[in-house]
Amino acid sequence: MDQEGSGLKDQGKRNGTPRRATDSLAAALADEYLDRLLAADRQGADEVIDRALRGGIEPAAIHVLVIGAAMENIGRLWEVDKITVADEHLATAISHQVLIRLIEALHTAAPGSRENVLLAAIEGQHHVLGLRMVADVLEGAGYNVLYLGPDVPVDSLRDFAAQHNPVVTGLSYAVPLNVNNLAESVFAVREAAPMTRVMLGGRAAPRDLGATGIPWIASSLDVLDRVRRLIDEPPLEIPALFHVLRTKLAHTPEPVEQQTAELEVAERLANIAAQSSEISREYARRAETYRDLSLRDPVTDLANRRAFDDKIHSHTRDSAGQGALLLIDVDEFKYVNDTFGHDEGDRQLVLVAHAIADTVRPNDFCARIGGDEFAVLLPVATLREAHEVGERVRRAVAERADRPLTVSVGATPVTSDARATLMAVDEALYAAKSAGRDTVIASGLNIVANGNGNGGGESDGARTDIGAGGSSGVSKVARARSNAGVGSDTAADAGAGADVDARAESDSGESGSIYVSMSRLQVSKQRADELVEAFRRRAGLVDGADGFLGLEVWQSDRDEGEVLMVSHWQNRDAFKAYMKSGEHQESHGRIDPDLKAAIKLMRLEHMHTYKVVAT
Amino acid sequence: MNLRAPSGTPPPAGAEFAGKRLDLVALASEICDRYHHEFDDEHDRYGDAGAEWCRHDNRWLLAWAVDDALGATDLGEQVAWLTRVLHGRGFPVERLARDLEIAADVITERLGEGGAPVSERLRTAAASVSVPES
Repeated sequence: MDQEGSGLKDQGKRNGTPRRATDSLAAALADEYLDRLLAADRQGADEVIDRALRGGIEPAAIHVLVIGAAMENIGRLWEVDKITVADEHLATAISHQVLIRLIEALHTAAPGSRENVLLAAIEGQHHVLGLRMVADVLEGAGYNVLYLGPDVPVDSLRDFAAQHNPVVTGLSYAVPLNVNNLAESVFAVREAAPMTRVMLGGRAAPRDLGATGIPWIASSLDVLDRVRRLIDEPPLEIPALFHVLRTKLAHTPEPVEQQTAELEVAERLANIAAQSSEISREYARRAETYRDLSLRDPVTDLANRRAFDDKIHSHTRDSAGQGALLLIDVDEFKYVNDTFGHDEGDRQLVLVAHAIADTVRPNDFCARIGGDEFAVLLPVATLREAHEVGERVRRAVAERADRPLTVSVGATPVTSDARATLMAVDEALYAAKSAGRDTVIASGLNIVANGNGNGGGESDGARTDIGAGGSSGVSKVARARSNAGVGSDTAADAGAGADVDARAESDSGESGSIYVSMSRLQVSKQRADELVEAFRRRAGLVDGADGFLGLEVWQSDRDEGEVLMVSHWQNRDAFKAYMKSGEHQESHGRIDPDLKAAIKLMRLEHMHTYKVVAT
Repeated sequence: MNLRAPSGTPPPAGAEFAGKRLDLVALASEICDRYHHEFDDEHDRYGDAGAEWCRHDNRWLLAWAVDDALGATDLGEQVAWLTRVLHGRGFPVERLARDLEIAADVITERLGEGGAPVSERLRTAAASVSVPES
């Protein structure tokens, strides 16, 4: 079969149009993929696509340059009578199933408040492989794709558009069978959803379409750009061409004539082949749907715990030390459920989910991983950026809520160990909760105490007297200084004395930093006490003679709230350098005058000394 | 030759152009009658199924010609595709060219000047038919 397949493939090449595959790897894989289709080798076809992915070819390019190129040759082989219609259907069915392998690679965006895009092949059109590719690319980019599949009657299209009001509607017209249906479909969706932007696709583009302004999608490679541009522009008026086409009489096929028994058998066999292919397509589509459902939280439409587990493990495995992880927990959520009922609780969860999804970037991954707990994986963020994202989420929730609703957020750098990363972020969240909730703590510390503090840290107002003992008792490996400020790079740098050796536990180099922010209402001595204690517990620090911990409250660069900064110095010189720093003065110059006294007091009252060793 | 009857998507039965309704079934039958009068060997070669395919294909060709005149398709592309399909099955494609000329004649006779855009497209397509490169 292989030899025969290769011969057929060559025949197809000779009779086919020039390949669109310009990339040599893609072209070679297209040849192999065609061989596998001709051999009806589904597993082999899967393997070719896996190799294309490993070879770094973009999924949308695999659509066009590998699968599309091979399927084009399949069509050519049928044209020259080298394969049957059933062979062609089988190749199509295999390709539908193979596309499932590309789904995960196509998913680049977190689901969230996504816009509806309706995709359908118009009435009478049964070729939907290309439409399916377009659907997958759009879905992967975060759009909420409503895929209706082949042969969608005009009335069904109208009803569906009215019900879902898609921002974009894509109609496929692959074979030049009945252009009247195309025109009727365009009018139907626009009448039902006047603001929907119409785009068309398929191989049978009306010849004069180019002058009308309605875009024709050539392949899944250009659909994202097209859709983005369409959404940015108002809907076009339906062009005159479609008014002309609409006036055509419907192409009513005549009744099928009675055929001889032999022909009826042949027809039946052909129908069975077509139905088998259709069933395979449906299974392929259904498998995708089930897979999607199994990975999605039905209440918030975010990814669910299973999807998150897959994501965090693959990310820590493939991108060790890159990015940061946020853990977000709704404060006092049980009170909402108990007081207002679970429907209201679900509504609040959706509000939080939307606040998260609207705050993060397209490549960030959001999930609801527990009852009122959410996680966000920021694949390329630093810890400081992670804190800023957490702070934006905290504010977005508070601003959008129509009843008192707050979240606490923990953040930590991602390491190569998923379990350790999850434990660390859980501890950061715990610290945020302990600090009084409605708080964001981003911490990369991974320091444990030796449990032998000497009780230093007297609060006598003389900061230079606090933390006596210098650095002599500190392991060189563990000569860590944790010092950072939200929204202030200079503050983080200011305390970095010459003898400070920040120990980076994660590859991000930020494990020695902690960023804290909370709402203005919580800036009180009690909160500060709790925060410092939470930090100490989080970092595993005990009172000792080798350094000290300080809490500062800074005026935020933003319009509201303050930034609480927890710093830890390992010796007196480092602390002095920080205090003498011009940056430090500048930072303090921004503090709200009304708070200055309290802030000063808080700082003096919350210096702690401790002793640290490496983990 | 054991040719099977036409299968797949049935062709349109009617169309409208220049304010006139075109009965594509009747027009295709007339085209095929004239065609088989010229090529009377085809019945021996293809049997009754050959005549059915002739009517089937001519209804599609007429529908595409009308669509082309409306700006909705490219008859030349469709004829090129049909040429490859027929050539792949051993059909002499010069007869397809002649069939298109006959179709143009029938349209001219039935629609007069109003049908000129359609008949002109059929003649242009006839002139474009050639043996595909192998």
